[in-house]
Amino acid sequence: MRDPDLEAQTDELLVAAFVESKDERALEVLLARHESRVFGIAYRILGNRADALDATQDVFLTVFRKAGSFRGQAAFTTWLYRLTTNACHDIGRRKARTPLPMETLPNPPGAGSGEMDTRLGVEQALRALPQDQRVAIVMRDLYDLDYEQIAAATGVPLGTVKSRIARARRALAGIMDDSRGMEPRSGGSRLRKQR
Amino acid sequence: MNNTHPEIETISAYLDGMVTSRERAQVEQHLASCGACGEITSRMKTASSNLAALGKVQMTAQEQAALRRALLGATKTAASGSLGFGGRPAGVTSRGWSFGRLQWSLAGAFALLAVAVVGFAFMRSIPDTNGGAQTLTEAMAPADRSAAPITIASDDQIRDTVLALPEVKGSISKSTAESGPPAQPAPEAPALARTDASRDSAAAQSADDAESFATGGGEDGGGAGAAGGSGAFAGAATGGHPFTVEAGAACAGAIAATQPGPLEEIAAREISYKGRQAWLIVYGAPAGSSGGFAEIRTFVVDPADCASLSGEALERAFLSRYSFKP
Repeated sequence: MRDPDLEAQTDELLVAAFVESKDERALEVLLARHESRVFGIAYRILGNRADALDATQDVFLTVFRKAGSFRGQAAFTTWLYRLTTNACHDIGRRKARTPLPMETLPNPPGAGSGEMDTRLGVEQALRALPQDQRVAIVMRDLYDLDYEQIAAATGVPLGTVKSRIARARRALAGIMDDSRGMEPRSGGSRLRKQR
Repeated sequence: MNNTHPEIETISAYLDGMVTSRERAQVEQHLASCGACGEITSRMKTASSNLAALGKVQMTAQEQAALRRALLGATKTAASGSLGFGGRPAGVTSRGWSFGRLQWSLAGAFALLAVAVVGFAFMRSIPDTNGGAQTLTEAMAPADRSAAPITIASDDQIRDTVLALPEVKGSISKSTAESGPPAQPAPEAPALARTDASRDSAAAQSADDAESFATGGGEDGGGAGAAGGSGAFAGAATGGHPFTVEAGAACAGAIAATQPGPLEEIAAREISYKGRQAWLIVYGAPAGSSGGFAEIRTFVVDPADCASLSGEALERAFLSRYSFKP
């Protein structure tokens, strides 16, 4: 049974409630509040539900086990995203495999439509990105985290986040253009001086 | 700035509103006169929009329930201070569980040196006595048997939902045991027949999933498995509405009649598919003399359509269909 009083609490107060009184209901509220977001990010990073579920479980296990070490100096969600990034990194490293293209439905409704082709192309392009770029672009474009939040979640400087997002976007655009038979752009991350 | 193209990072940050007002003015001034940068900006904006349009993947009700059971069970263990090696409760994750068991097995092996018989018995008892938490796979099985409908919000959830059904897991485990060598790590020895190069990636993905479920191979797969028949509908009877055992069996028969080759019924579930009630019916296409299944075929269909249509008309009415190699 949900507790309205607990539901109204901030994440940080819920963590404190669990640490101080071992109130598991506080954990349940935290779980209900954030599990889908953690799972969704992990799914887009890892590319399949089983791994995303494992990552989600790892994240919340860590939250439950280390709640006492959370000092509240940063937002709870910052810590949560950091744990999510770490869990995905660990699972990816443990499996030591290249992200694979999404399995395709043989006859999905709408197959052959422009919308479906675009969707499949985007998913495949996303999975082909290096994981650091994929993490950054998923957090930015799918989950609306700002650059500072992504930097905190990934433990890299703001400039690195900016660069990863830019490279991911260019790669996504380039891969999708390839799929349409267009030449990808050449050159590095900086554009040449105009003549 | 006017003579120099902005860096790609600057264009990207500009799209996110993460530039200063001065930078913004410079970029906009440049874009007004540079077609190449305008095109790049447009393409990056499209890429960003297309990615956002994928939407946020949601957990199914089953996944949420399984996660909750596993985690809240683990917190009880943590609270009692009886965490396993490395501070992780044994038996918490599907893959971590295997690792935990390995560690315990090693501990048991040392014990065997001292007290062989007692040590062996102790090692076998550890997974049940140490963690108190269910594996994710273990937690999933009872959820599948409940009367609560499965929720599928998008087609990319179908495969994993099907693979999570205990009957399907049982069938795949049995299929693997019957048709292939002992399980090996997927990257080195994919358990799938590769028919052509274009399917390699999908095959490798399936092999990986097969490996995942092999982790839980010791579990009771649910009984119906490859035997098919009425057992496939063990979890389908919810009574008082169109999703009865009889209706499911009739629907499965009607769907099978639309398909080439023999099919064995594996599972049937009442589901909520994109907000509407539907049957999820799973078949296995027998592999032939080697035993097991060569293919798992899944259909989502409206019960009313299944009861009133047949043949090609029924086939056209499928809400979704999906096949994969076990």
